[in-house]
Parts: sequence; C-alpha cells; structure tokens
Amino acid sequence: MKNNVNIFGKTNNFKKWQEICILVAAGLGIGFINGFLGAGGGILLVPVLTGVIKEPVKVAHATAVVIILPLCVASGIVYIIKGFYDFSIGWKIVVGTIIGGTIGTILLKKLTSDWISLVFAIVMVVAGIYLCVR
Amino acid sequence: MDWLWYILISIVSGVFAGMGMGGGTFLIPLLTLFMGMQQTQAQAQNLVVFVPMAIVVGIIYACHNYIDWKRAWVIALPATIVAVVAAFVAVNLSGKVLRIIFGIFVAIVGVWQLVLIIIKLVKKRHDSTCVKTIAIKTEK
Repeated sequence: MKNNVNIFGKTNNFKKWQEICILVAAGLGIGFINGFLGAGGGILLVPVLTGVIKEPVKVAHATAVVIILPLCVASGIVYIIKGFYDFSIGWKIVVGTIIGGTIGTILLKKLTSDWISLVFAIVMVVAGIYLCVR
Repeated sequence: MDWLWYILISIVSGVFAGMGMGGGTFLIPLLTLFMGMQQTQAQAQNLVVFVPMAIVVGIIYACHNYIDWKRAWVIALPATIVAVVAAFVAVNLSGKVLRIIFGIFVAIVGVWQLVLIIIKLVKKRHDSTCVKTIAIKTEK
C-alpha cells in the first residue's frame, strides 16, 4: 500500500498552496465541531479526504483516525478539568465500546451495509429532531 | 443494574463505530435519551472513549502504511487548537442549548447520509437494469 501514501498533490489537481488552504480550513471546521459537540469529526473528515483530496477510502479512514485522536485528547482534557467526565461511568462505556467495536468490525465483513446505512440515516434524522424538540 | 445498561448501550454504539458509521453520533443520543445523562457529560464520555480505540486502530493502520502523515499534520494542528477553544465554549453553555445544537447537527448529517445512500441505491438498480437490457439484447 506504500504507493497510496501520497506526497502532496499526487492524488488530485490542486496546487500545493491550494491544498494547504483546503486542509487548514477543513481542520478548523472539523476541530470546532468535534470540540464543541464531542462528535462528528470522522463523519465529516472522511468525505473531505475522499471527495475533495481524492484519497483512497482506506487511507482516508486511517488518516481520519490519527487526526481526530489529538482533538479528542485535547478537548477531552478540557471537559475533564471542568468536571464533566464521570470516571465511574467511563470504564463501563470503554468496555462496552471495545466489545461492540469488535462485533461491528466482524459484522462489516459479513453484511452488505447499504440497507443498514439507510436505517442508520433514518434513525439519525429521527433522533436529531427528537433531541431538538424534547 | 445501571452498569449493565451503560455497557449494553456502548456495545450498540461500538457496533456502529466498528462498521464505520459514526459511533459518537449514536453514543451521545443514547446516553442522553436512555440514561438521562446531561449533554455535556455525554460529549465528554464520547471524546474520552475514542482515545483508547483510536490508539489501537491507529497503530494497526500505521503498521499497514495506510496513514497519509503529511496531510494529517496539516489538518490536525489547526483542528486541535480550535477544538480546545470550542470545548471551552461548549462547557460554558447550558446542556439544553448544547443538546438542541447537537440535535440539529445529527439531523442534518442524517439527511445528508440519507440522500447519498438513496442516490447510491438508485444508481445500483439502474446499473443492474442496464446490464439486464444489454444481456437481453445480446441474446437476441
């Protein structure tokens, strides 16, 4: 996969300075949303990397993970300092997410995900509206 | 019995995260709607839970040479600085305001995903009909 890891400009037709502007702008927007809402970075970053920068899908997913990691650490520290993180609940969520994440990764290989994505999107719309009106 | 619910809820969101469908946008509403957690606390949980997962997954990706480090730096640096500022803004807002803004964000992303999936499904259907038509024509 070495050839997929690109030096600037190999995956698209942007000039280097144009691409730096796009990447910085994306970083500012995604950083704000992920810090402010505590989520949503990955869901926005992957389409930017695949659609605008034309990275291969796998590289985009992998790169998104290492970009969001420092965001979560930095903004997570702010939430912890301000007393919004409950450590007694935290470990349960970490354990559950690791179990769920493993199941999800296995399921991904066995299921076609289009219909699941469709259901997921509908659930998101309904949940979003419900969160607003509740 | 609360601990069991927390684990069950995070298993559900973990499954979605593992399938690459945004675990956080799922975990936060589950925590606020089912467990009665404050929006700000739920957001904190989601940020922290991502860290151990991302470290493990990141190392695996790095070993396979999947990470575009040059672009990662250019995005991550401004993103991290802004994220800290945004976190300070968020913790000073009331949980209710934050929940409404989060709800709007989730609904918009949901609609966007819905449109993309519908386009994809329609295209697939169209492509398969084209293949069938060509097959019938060649048979004739």
